[in-house]
Amino acid sequence: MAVFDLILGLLLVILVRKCLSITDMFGAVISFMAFGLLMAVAWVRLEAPDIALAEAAIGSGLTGALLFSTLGRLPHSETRQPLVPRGSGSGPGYWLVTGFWWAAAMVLIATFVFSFQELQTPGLGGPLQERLAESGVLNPVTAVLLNFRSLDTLMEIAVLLAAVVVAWSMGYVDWPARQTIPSPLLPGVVRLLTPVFLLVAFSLLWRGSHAPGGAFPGGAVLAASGILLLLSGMTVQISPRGMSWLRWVLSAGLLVFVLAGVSLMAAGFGFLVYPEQWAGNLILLIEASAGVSIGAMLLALYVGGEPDMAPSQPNNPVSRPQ
Amino acid sequence: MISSQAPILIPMTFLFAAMLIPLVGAVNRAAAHLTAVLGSALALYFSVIGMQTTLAQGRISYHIAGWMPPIGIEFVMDPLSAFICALLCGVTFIVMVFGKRSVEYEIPQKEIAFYSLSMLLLGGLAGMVMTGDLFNLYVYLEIAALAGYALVAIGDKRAVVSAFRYLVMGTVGATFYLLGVALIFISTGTLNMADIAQLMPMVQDSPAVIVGLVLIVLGTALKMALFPMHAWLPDAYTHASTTATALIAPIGTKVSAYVLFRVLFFVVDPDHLRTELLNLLQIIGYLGAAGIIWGSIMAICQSELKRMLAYSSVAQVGYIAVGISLASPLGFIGAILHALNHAVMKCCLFFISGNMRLRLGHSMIPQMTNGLRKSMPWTSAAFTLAAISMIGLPPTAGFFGKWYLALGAIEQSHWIFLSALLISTILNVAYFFRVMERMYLKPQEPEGVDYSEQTIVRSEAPASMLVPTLFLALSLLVLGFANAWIVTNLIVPMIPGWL
Repeated sequence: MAVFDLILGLLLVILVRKCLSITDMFGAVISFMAFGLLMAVAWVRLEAPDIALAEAAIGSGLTGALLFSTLGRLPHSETRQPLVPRGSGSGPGYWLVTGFWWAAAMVLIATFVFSFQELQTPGLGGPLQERLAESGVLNPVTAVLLNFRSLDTLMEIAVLLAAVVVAWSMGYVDWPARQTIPSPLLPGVVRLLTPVFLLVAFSLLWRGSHAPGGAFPGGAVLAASGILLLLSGMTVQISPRGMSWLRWVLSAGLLVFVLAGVSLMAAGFGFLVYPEQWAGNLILLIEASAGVSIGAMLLALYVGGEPDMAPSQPNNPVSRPQ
Repeated sequence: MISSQAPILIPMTFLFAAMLIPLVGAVNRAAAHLTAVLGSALALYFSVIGMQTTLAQGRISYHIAGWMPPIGIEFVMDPLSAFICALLCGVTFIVMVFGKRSVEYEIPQKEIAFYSLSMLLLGGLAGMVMTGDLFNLYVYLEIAALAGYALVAIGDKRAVVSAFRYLVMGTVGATFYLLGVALIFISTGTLNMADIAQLMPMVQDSPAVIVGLVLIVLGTALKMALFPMHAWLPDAYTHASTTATALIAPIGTKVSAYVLFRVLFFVVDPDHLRTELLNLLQIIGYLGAAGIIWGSIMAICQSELKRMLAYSSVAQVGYIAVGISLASPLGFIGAILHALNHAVMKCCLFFISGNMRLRLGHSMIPQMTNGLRKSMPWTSAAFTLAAISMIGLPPTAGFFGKWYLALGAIEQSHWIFLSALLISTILNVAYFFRVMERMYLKPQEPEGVDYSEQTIVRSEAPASMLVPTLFLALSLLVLGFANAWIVTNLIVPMIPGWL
């Protein structure tokens, strides 16, 4: 396996280099997605399947989709233009500066590697395993994310919601989105795939309590199925009332989380202190609402700005499959 | 009841308001503004109660979700965090009151996003101040940063570009911070600041910890716009809407400075700080001194009021860095007092630029004439008072922060710092008097037209904007007179025992 790890590490470095040096944006996006996939494999090798799932779904899949949708909005000529103007990477000055930074970076990395060799693995695993039984779930990652350090997760959902608010504050997008890929194959494939995606998403959500999975990967898969539906030209027509419903769906994850925390506080337990017998159910409730919200938020980020309400018929960008 | 829950209630109030605003705003736009004002008032109330309790009974520690560290996250309200938090909430409340007309005028149709993002920003900043956990701090830092980028981006046409630069620089800073935290976590096995402080003497000689600390300081310095990492700041502040700038400028960089205080004076071992990390402190101080001079010189060169104030902010961050670098009680008092004074002064000055934009349509310094003192007498008066305080003339507040810093520099015979302080005062005079001269003395149009009292229409800013401006300007005098009380009752209790 050591050889495999070595090749994996080398490939990662090569892909990063390719990502940064490639001259057309399309190629850069492709190498970035490949990098994300290999990174997921690296996480598996590091025995962190949860991070691998998240990396594969978000780092490679959704980020790739986001980058492609950005490319699609750029004027066609721009996407194919070299990123670095030719001629800038030559001359003795350039090589002197580049050489200096490379040498400095290499020395730094070498010092890092040699001085950190005596470090032992960080230790919160022990105390965590001892307390796992009290957390209400069996998967230590879920226990950390939704019980021990639930505040961090709450805030990460807030970050995601903030990103959506930011995207919406930048302006409107035409709706229905014109991002359909003209492919005769896609609608049929999507028709077959959507149920599978949904099944996977909810199974990931449900598995979170005892195995790798949970709200973030589940939400990402949900969003991925939504993106595929958008690409195949299926959008859901919903009345203006749908817009205000959409706002609720987007904020449901955070709202349920905060309300759970505050109501537990009002009941005398303290902020987000789960009573032990309810812990499992509370975590499931929070995780389910967070998963749906995360899916909707990631999809909203893909769509871009706030769907344009003004002309004719406003629609709901969360094409939650029916 | 409230007092023991205050540490978590403050950030959650802001967060709740941030969620409520888009939902309420979908029904009624005016309600969004009201929610923001009420939310920040509630947070201010909680923080004042928390501060009172902290001063009377010592630090409040709150264990989120009931888990003790190192597994769980701890929120800590001690005199330092309570003071900074009260400052944040106070400034926010005033800015939210001021914001209504200015936001309507400068960024129409974007009020709801603006208020929601402001509350998110504050939720992030308050969390950064309250948390006692290094990783949790990073999460809050992300929230505050993301909201900050967006607030900066909602501005004039060039705002998006400057926001993008801010985003790139801010992300680099946050990444440095996270990397540093990871290295310290590897070495100590805990993320809780108090735990790390106890474990520090055992691991502090390992390269991982030292590199980690340097990375944390570097990332934080980038976030607080310490010279020469300030390049993102002037553009970001200039092109954002006035209300956004008035919100971010007084408190955004201060919270990063607070993180520096927290890490250097409360997490690092004091002996270690005095011996091996002395170089780090010195570098922070010299960069601060360089920033004081550079920011002031650049401020003199600007022709737009907001941009001038932005460069002045670079200089003011330098004062705080100098105070940190002195690592003495006087330096500590000076830095904190200056953070308070500067927050009030900068907020007031940005309000003034907002008033001018509303009534004149611009805030270009070369186009200002003495018509201003007749058309906007109160705004001009407030500007004068704030400018005098920025320069540092007694009895205004600005004098006392600089006074303590100067005493601290003399105490340690740091003549470079002292001369930077003195030179910057002269430079401050140059750039503020340049504006005041136009405002009060420059005749309007020389050619033959008689601009007597009648021809100039009195057009003072509306009360909702003028009252906060005047309130801040007057509070500069109050803070100046009350400085001895503030120092003995609020600032001295927060100085760590070893200092």
